[in-house]
This record gives sequence, C-alpha cells and structure tokens, in this order.
Amino acid sequence: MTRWLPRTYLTLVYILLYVPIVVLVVFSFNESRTGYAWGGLSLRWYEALFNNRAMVNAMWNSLWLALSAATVSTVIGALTALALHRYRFRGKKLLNGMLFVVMMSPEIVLAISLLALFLLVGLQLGYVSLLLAHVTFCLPFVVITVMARLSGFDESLPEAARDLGASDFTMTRTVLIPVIMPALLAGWLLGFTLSLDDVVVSTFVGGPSYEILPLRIYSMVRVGLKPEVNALGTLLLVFSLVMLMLSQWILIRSKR
Amino acid sequence: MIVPLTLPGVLAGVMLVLLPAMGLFFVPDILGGSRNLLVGNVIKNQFLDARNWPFGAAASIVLTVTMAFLMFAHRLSKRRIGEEGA
Repeated sequence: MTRWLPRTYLTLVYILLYVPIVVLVVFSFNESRTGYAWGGLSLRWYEALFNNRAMVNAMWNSLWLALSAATVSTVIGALTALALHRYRFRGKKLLNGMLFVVMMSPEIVLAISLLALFLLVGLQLGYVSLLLAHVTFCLPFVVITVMARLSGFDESLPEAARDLGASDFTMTRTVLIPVIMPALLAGWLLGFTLSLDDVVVSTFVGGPSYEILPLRIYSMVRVGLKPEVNALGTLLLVFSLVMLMLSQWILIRSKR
Repeated sequence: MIVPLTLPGVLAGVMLVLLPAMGLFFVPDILGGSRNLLVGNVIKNQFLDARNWPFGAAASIVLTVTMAFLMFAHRLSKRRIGEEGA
C-alpha cells in the first residue's frame, strides 16, 4: 500500500505531462489529414511546413527577435545587477522591488500598458515595439540571475586584481566577466526562451509588418488544428531540448 | 510536521501558477471554446476588438490590485509561518 501509492501518483503526474507531447510528435509524422486517425508514416507535414513561406518567414523573424531581445536584456540586466550589487544609492530598494513587480504582474497588464505607451508616443508597431516590449519582460529575469551569482562573489578578487596593477577594464575582462559568465549565459537563454514563446505581449504590441511564430501558430490553430503545427511543434521541442542540454553542459563545465 | 514545513513552498507554488494563469487569454481561446471567458479574454477583447480602452484598462487595474493583494497576503502568511516554525 505505502509503496505503490506514491509510485502510481508519480506515474500519473508524468503521464499527464508527457502524453500530450508524445501525441504531438507522433501525429507530426502522420500521413492522414485528420488529426485522429493514423494513416501511416510520412514527412509530408514537414515538407508542407517548409513550403509555407509565411511560416518560414515568421520563424526567422521570431529567431531574430529572440536573439536580439535576449542580447539587449542581458547587457542591460548585467549592468543593472552590478549597480544593485556594488553601489549604495537612494531608491535602491525601490528599484529592486520594481523589478519583482514587473516579473510578478500579469503579463496582460504589462502588454496593454506598453501598447498604450507606444501609441501615445506614436511608435509604429513592428520590430522595434516588439523588441522594446520583450526586453522589458526579460530584464528582471536576467537581473535576478546575475545578482544571485554576484551574491556569492568574493569581493577580494577585484581588490587583488587592482593591487596587482590591473586597470578597471582589465579587472572587468579577466576577473568579473569570467565569474559571472555562467549567469550571463543562463540569463541570456532564459530571455531567449521567454521571448521565443511569448504570445500575450506580442499580440498587443506586434504589428502586421513583423509577424512572429507564436502569433502565426495562434492564428492557425484558432481556425482548426493543422498537422503542420504538429510538425512545427516537434521541431521546436527538439530545438528547446538541444538548447537545454547545451546550457546544462555549459553549467557543468563551468563548475569544474 | 511535513505540511507546516513545506507550506511556504506550497504557497509560493500556488502563487507562481495563479499569477500567469490569471492573465492568459490564448489557452481558454483555443481549448475553452467561445463560452468560457476569463479575465484575460475580457481585457483582450476590450482592447483589440471592442476598442473600449477605458473598460479594458479598468479590468486590468482590478486584476493588478487583486494580484497585489494576493502577493501581500502571501508575504504576511510567509512571515507568520516563519515565526511559528522558529
């Protein structure tokens, strides 16, 4: 009794988590058009996916947006974390708290406030508005990741570097950046994934001139399930698995 | 013994699920059919379809205040649990 109960429970939880994913992967190789019947193995939906110009275009747009948003938010976030870690200034606590507010507030509230702001200043909705919005919601995650790394940072290291005659620039390059590098990578990856699969904010601040993948999928799925979406989902799954393994590998290597 | 000790974690987990779930509109849109409206759907419809911005803004303020209240309650309960545990 006491042995099989936890096991059954755990099995059920994992079945609930993984059955939808397995179904998605299996049906992406399905020959038949309807989503419920198995019609044999085929790659036709992958072919259809790559022949769909709008889809491929949206894929590149999404990748480029995620890359740029993650990079910009990592740069700004790392500098913010350094400032919050190193200096004492007025309003520091407020600034720190405001980061959490951005992270914890419902995404849709952030989305409509950004939309209202962009319309107020007359910004054309498109790549720039999407980039600004994505950087905004990625930023707190980067800052918190880097701050966590900095909190275990030995302050005598930069002092030792200065004692040995290193300039600020040399100290940053040879001491500080190597120490916070895992956090920078983790924050960058976090931002990348957040930006890649964001629907809520992008729905509001995205424009027709720059279509991104999640919105494309959303509008496709709303009119009925298309097998192409299964193929795309499988590709995204493989992609995120590779990214996850890469980040874990970097983390393990950096610990040695 | 186990329940009181893990309660802060359980509460944090509840908050982590609740906060995004309140604002999502695309999951009920795809899975819930047209009859099940959540707050997120209402806000989105008011802003993007009905163009009734003040109403949408009011709905989102209600959502924000609810969130703030829940976070405050979470903080309070965490402090109380912490005191009892110590």
